Amino acid sequence: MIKVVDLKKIFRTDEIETTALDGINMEIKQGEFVSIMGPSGCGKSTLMNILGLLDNPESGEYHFLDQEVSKYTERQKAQLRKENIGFVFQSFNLIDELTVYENVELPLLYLKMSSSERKKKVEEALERIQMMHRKNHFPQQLSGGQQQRVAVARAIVCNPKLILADEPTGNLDSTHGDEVMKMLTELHEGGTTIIMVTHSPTYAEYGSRTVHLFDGKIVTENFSGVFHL
Amino acid sequence: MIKHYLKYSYQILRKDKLFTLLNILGFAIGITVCSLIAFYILYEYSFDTLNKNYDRIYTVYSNADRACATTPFVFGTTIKNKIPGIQKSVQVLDGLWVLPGIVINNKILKIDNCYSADPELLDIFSFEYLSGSKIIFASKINSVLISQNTAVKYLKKDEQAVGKPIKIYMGGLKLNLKIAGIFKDAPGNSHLRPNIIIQIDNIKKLIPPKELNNWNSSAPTTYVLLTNPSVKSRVEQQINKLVPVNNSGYHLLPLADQHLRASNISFLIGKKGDINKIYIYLIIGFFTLLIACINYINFNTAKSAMRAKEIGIRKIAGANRWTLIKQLAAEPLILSCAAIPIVVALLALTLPYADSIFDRDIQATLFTNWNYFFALLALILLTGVLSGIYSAVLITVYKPLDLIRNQMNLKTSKSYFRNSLLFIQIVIFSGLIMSSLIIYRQMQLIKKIDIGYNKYCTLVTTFPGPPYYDQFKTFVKELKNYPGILNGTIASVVPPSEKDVIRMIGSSPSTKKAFCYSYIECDENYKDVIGLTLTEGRFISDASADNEIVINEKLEKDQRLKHAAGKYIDIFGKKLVVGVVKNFYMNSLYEPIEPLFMAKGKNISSYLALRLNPKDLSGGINLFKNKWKQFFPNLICDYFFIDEEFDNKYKDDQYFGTLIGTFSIVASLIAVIGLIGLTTYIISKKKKEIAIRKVLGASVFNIVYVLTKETLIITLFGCLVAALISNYFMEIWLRRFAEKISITPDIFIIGFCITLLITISSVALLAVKAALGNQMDSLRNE
Repeated sequence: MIKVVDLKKIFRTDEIETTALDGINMEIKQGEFVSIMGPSGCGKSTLMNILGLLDNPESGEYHFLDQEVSKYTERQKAQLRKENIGFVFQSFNLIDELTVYENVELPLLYLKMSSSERKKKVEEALERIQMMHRKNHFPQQLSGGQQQRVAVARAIVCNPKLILADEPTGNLDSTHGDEVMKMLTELHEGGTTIIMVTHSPTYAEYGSRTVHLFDGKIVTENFSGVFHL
Repeated sequence: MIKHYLKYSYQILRKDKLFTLLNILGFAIGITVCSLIAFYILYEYSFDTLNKNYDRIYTVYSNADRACATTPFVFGTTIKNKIPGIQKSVQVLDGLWVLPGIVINNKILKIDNCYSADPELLDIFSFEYLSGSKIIFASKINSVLISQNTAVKYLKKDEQAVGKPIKIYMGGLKLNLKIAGIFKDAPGNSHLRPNIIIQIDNIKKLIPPKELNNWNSSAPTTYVLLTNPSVKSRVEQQINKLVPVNNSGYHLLPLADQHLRASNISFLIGKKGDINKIYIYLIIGFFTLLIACINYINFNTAKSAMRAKEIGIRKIAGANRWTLIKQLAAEPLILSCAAIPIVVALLALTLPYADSIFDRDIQATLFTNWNYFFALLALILLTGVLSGIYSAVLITVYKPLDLIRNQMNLKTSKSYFRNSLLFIQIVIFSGLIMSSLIIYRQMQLIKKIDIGYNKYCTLVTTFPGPPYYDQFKTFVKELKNYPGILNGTIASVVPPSEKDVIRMIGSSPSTKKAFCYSYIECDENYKDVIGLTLTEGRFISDASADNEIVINEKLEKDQRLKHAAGKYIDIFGKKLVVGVVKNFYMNSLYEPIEPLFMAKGKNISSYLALRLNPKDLSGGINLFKNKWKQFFPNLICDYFFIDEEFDNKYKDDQYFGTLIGTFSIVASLIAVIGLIGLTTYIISKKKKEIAIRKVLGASVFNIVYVLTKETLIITLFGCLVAALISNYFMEIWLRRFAEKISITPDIFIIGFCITLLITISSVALLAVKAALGNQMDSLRNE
């Protein structure tokens, strides 16, 4: 599903050049749950952003669903993104002015779906995260865990092939963190490919493979768990 | 999707009520001012367009000495049916010598816009008849057409008035006429607005045949209807071939130019517009719209920057740029729609006021033409949405990640852009403030200036010329017997008069140098009644010989004389200077003092001036009115006071001053609204900075300084540029005055202080609030 070859990313300011990714080679198959770990500034989030087509690599190849996408235009990337990728962020990133229902509906709006179909899908997603009873609440009225569940619902509402979760439990206590991890596991069991950045070795264990990054390079890869195909 | 946009936009706008309110208000005020100006300009350009022959009607004017729209009576008959390009021609007289009157129940009531004209007037210009017809009018010399308003106002009846007799006084003579028809009143944007039209032959009967054939006397205005506008120059050539050689120099003025592009032509019938004024208003309107749009853009950019995270999320959720631009433009659209009722309400409130400022009847014409409203609607929606789209384009250019992390670089190009917009706003409103200060000073100067005569308590009236001279002399003698009237004089002109001053052109026999001197025919009391000051010799007396003259200092200087009294000078024959008077402004302060001489006579006098006793003004006026009725039962008693007439001369400039003042207030208001919005935005962006500074020990003053520094610098430079620009334009404006103030730096310093006060007070309040507030939350969020 994903294949990156010698992927490099350099951040430049007037005086300093920082190499964030330094020749990453990696392959992720459909149905895998990959955890990415590493100290702060090792390039985890940069890698996630490039994989999520939110950022461009400096050099190297990026094959997504057998297409070389690193040279795609912004428009092409947006199209690919909205059809195939769901995002979950550490800081939830829900829109405060929209209700739970509307937040989850957001990606569907840009897929030009009929309103009845949208309703069906949003309700399905909300049922799945058991937040149906809160659908008319605004994000500020929810706990952190609930907000992250809504964010997950938003990520899965279009049935994406890939979910990118950037420290999804980072802002949550252990109870809520466990809740979110349980949901991601369920999704994985349902066949969705998941790439997750985490600082927590415990949560990294949920993945079928853990990739360790250091100074922009992959240092080790541990395999565990089972593939769900 | 559209539902989503609208609903969401509504929520966003509701969330930030103050921001939304300020935005709508600033926008609505700007649009209102702009539409008022647009209405005025459209109105001015709509003059006479209702005539179906609009593009083929021309006014004849002569341009021998100075451009003048009157022609000799004989001109009309000379060109009639003799020039192939002219389909029809008409001569029109707007009154004659004195104000016309209408006799109702044996009382004479004055009535203006009483035209006498050839029947062709009705074929050339478009009038709408309510009853009667132009055919009856054309066939009978004693028939008259009256306007609907006249019928209702004077005869208290409308259409039934046709066929009824009516008595009209014109040129001092009574005409017994019959009403042939009633026409609908001409709209305000028509230069011909007759109340009464009588046949010009009635007037011609009053004038000696010698005068009617005299090529040197000028009275009526001649209009021609050409077969085609393209024949204009050929017709002009043919006209000049037909008239006597020394009178050639006739031109045709298109009707389209009559209102706005004929300020140099005197004696045109009707209200005159001024194209320069249109340009000034156009500039002001453009600037006001610019300020309002800048605000709108600033507000929306600030607003969308505050929503960077949301836009980022939407981008990640799959929204492309165009979709986002559409969504972000939905808000300005809602705002614009919300502004519509406010604009309409503001217009309803300000239109009557605008009518009096512009001295036009825009309100009445407005509702006859819905195009004005469509234009207004288009203006609101277009400006709103375009300014909205602009800020949307700006914000959506960022990558989703930068937006989510709020990493748009505030210090770079965008803040330069915002600052330049602020700079433009300050230049505009500070420039307007400085200009209104200059205008105010000039108007104050006019009030204080020594005009050389006593303008107070002097009543002036006109009479129908030499035939009445002796009667009026007796009238004055009678009036002087009463304590309410101190003195009286009869003359050819009294100040401040422009049109009746006679300018005589001659050349000096010795040096052959050409000169142009003003001439006043008067009697011995002129000096005392008008209040002139004698500097040498004496004034002309009852016993003066015909060649005795009194000159002003300017003429004395022009003739290079010292102590001219008692000396003979050679102007228009040998003249004995018996006295010299101090210079006085015969016209207005727009024109320099001209060399002038006065002599005794009764050939052209038609003005009567009375100096009333200031202790009993109303008694004097009543006495004058009663005696008038007794002496001249057939003449309308119409009078004015010199000081009122003097003030009237500057009415236009006073209006201009008021207008610039009003606009500077409005522009400042809009700019203040914008500044408040902008500062709120900047403070919200700098919360973290403020918190860190506070942690590190900054005082409230330090923080306020940091927040206001930029505005301070922009204000300073803005005022500098504003001073240069307003200095340039005001120098041009001041050129119209003969007596003018000099533009001193203190005006600009005061203007700068006012601008600074306005900008800093709107910024500093918010800055102080921010500095005093608890900003620690923003650090905690990190």
